Amino acid sequence: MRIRRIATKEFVEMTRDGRFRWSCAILSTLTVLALAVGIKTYRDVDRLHREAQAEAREHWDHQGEKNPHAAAHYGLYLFEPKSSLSFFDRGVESYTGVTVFLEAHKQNDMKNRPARDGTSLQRFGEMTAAMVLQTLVPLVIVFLSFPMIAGEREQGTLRLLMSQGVRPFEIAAGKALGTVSALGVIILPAALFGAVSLWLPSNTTEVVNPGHIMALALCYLFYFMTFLAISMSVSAVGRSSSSVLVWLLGFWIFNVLMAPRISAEIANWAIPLPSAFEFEKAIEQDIAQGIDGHDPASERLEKLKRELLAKHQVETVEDLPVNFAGVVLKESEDYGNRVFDKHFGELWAKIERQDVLAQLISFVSPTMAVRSLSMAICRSDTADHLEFTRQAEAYRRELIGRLNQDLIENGADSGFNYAADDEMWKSMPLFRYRPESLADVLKNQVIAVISLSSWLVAALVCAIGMTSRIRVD
Amino acid sequence: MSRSRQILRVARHELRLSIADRRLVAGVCLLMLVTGAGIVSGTRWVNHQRATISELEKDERSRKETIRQELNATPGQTQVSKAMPIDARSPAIVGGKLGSTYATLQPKRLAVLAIGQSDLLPFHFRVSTESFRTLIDQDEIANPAHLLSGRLDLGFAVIALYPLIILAISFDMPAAEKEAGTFGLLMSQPIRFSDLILGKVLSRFMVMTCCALAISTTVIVFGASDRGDASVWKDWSLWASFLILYGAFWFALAVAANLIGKSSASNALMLSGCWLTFVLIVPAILNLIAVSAFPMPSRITLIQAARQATIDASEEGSRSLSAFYEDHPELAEGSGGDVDEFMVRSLATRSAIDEKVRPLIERFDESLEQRQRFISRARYLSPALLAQDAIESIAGTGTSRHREFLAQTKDFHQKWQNFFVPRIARKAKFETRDLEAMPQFQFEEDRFALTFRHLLGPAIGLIVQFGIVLILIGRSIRDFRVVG
Repeated sequence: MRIRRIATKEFVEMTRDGRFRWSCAILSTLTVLALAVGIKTYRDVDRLHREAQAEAREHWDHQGEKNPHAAAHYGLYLFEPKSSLSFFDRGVESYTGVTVFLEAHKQNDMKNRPARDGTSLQRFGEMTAAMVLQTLVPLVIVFLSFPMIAGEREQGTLRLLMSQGVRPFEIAAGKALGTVSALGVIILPAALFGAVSLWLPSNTTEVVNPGHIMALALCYLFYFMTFLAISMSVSAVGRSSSSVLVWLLGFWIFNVLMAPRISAEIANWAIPLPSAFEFEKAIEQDIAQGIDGHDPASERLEKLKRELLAKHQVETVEDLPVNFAGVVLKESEDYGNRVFDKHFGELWAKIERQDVLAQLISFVSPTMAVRSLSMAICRSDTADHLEFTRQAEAYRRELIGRLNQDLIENGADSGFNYAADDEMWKSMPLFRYRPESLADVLKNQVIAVISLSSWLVAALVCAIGMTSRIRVD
Repeated sequence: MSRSRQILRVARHELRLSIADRRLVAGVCLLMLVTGAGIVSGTRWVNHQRATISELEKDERSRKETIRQELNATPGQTQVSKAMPIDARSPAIVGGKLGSTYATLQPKRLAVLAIGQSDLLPFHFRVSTESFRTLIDQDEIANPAHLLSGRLDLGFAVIALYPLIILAISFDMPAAEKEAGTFGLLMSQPIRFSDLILGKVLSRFMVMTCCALAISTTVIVFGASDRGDASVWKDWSLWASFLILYGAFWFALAVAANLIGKSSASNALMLSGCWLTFVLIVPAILNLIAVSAFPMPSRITLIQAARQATIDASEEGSRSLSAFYEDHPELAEGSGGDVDEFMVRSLATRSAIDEKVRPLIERFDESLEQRQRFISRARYLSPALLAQDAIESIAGTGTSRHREFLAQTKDFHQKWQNFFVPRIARKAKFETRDLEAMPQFQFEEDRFALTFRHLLGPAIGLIVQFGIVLILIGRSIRDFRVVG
């Protein structure tokens, strides 16, 4: 009862404050704006990618009569589909390539990072709904809640309140409730807008899974509660409301500005990535000289020839019942794949280790935890990008493998003059990206989940402990 | 006592007080810590770039050596290395992958100051007879999450943290005295209110500026290459002026808030709101506007167009065939085809494709240009944006220098084409003297003129912003109530 009364008083007081109204208006507008632009961008890009994918396949299907290996060089473009929740959290999408060219002999990098066409302003942070929730809302929480207890103490009203027989816990709970309802006023319009736009008819490829939205909502709820509890704890022990504000702002700055950068620096120092040149050079080296350095390509070819002739008990390659050129291509493809597996595997493992490090750093910064989780759930993080890259490469191998197989089996007599037609190209499988399930995503994010939960528990324990022992002055 | 001596006396007292107060010390320590980390990170990045560039040069030299050996070998004895069964006498092969050269952008002398956009925009391109659009789509390997969060460099420390520390030490200059009850006492002394404020601000300004300058001088002494060069110090003085100007703006803002606000807490609230607006919200909104109002055609449309053009050129067969022979030159002779002939046809197709996609690329460049023009006007809305622009221009890690690099690479690529295309078309044999005559890329810095032109805008912008805040101060200082 008393708690409700305190909450009502707190809420009414806040909503009458001009500063609150302003920040409420600005924040709601920003969130709705960010969501609207996010949705439009998502729809445009998604449509573009699907159309481009269809067109690329069209080109592939109708490339006309040619040698399967020429077709393998003609290649196929894949375009990374945008995740439907990316309108909310764009994550690293601007900084990862969106196209990959699949061709014979070579595992190509994902190209065309959208950020390269961006402005220098984007490095200050892109305006997305997730950015508002991760950065600005905690700040509003700090602004709303820093004078909660310290302010009452300064004005001398805390003494008065206590003399009325209100228990410290009730004051804290009431004020927390008041702040939460004030926050609700800010977030609700955006949440409603987001929900409505989700169900609006659109011809996008994928439907948003309610599980993802639940997980996302839970993450942000945990995050906001953590910030609120921390603000209350500091407000309960702080000397003056201004010192409380300075401490809380310091905490916010560390979380939002410093922690991601510190994590990047530590990761780059602890697990350095090779330069693009080094990486490419190492692959070239291994393909030419053999993975162990003692198995040059020319010797591999000779060995293959000897083995094949012995197997079929013939004297020359022309007498072989299979197309020798096709066998050579298949062998070199297989060898190349081993090399790619080794190098790309190492590179990706390094990037993944760097990201795990970032999750570990979330134990000192709840923002890092929610950032990592939000991106992962919205499938706009590095892990999702790498998953796409892996599936694209697996598809390339299947495609090239089938083309080589056709050359080996059907082109025995004609060598490189053998040609297949459109029927052959059309019979190649379609590529369809299958993203990881929510359960798998959360499994990868287990450190962030644990860290965010521990932050919440610790902050709540701290808040209850601090507020139950309020000094009157 | 003259006014200036009085102001200095206030400043001296404040300095003593500040040393006793932990806040200033903490602020200075934080600044030192972050800039220290920034220097380390900037230096590591610059060293990485230099090391990569020297690796590239080494690679280019060794490939040239291979070509030279091939060319010097007597006809029958070609193929010096078995791993590379290629014909160095074919200008198409040399101008393609084998003899390709690197266009590199060396970090500027003061690149340590700000990583800027240099982690996102590639600092080297491999130039060959490939079309320009494909050779510039190479990227440096990076963890995308790190590109997203940005780096902990000196530029970040100056643009975002430096103002925060300034605000943290000066948000309660008269308010704290008022709250402590000493303000009335002070004002009963024969001192003007404006002198008191000036003295207070001056002491803090001196401490912060001296720190910042000391740190950046350290950077140059330990971080910059050839510090004996006079232009390093010219750049340093530019950097220092911007640091002072930018700091002055935030100090002035703090004074204004002190005069307008009532309690120290409301000052802090107001100032953190200003900081948030200038450093986070304005850039994010401007970026949003730039992206939505000046949409770029997606790179994907370019890929599609190029693909379509390839088909239209109806040389598809020969193109893929020549790509095939580039990969399998050992098989070329057996097929009875003429490699040179394929190269010529491939070249023709490539230029036909380039011609077809040219309008699209021009549209790209135009949109990019429009966007850039919008940004360069809009940056006057936030001192942080002006500072970013100035700092990245001085460090040479901003978009403008990179655009210059791209333009020069494009010109160089044209030179490369002019050198190789006639030789390929003539089916000429590549010779040793051709090897010596091959074009070599050298980035023309055109240093100071470029920097100066780019710095003029930000400098005027910051001075105007500083002036606006001063006017605000002048107005509110008259209305300031000492009592109550």
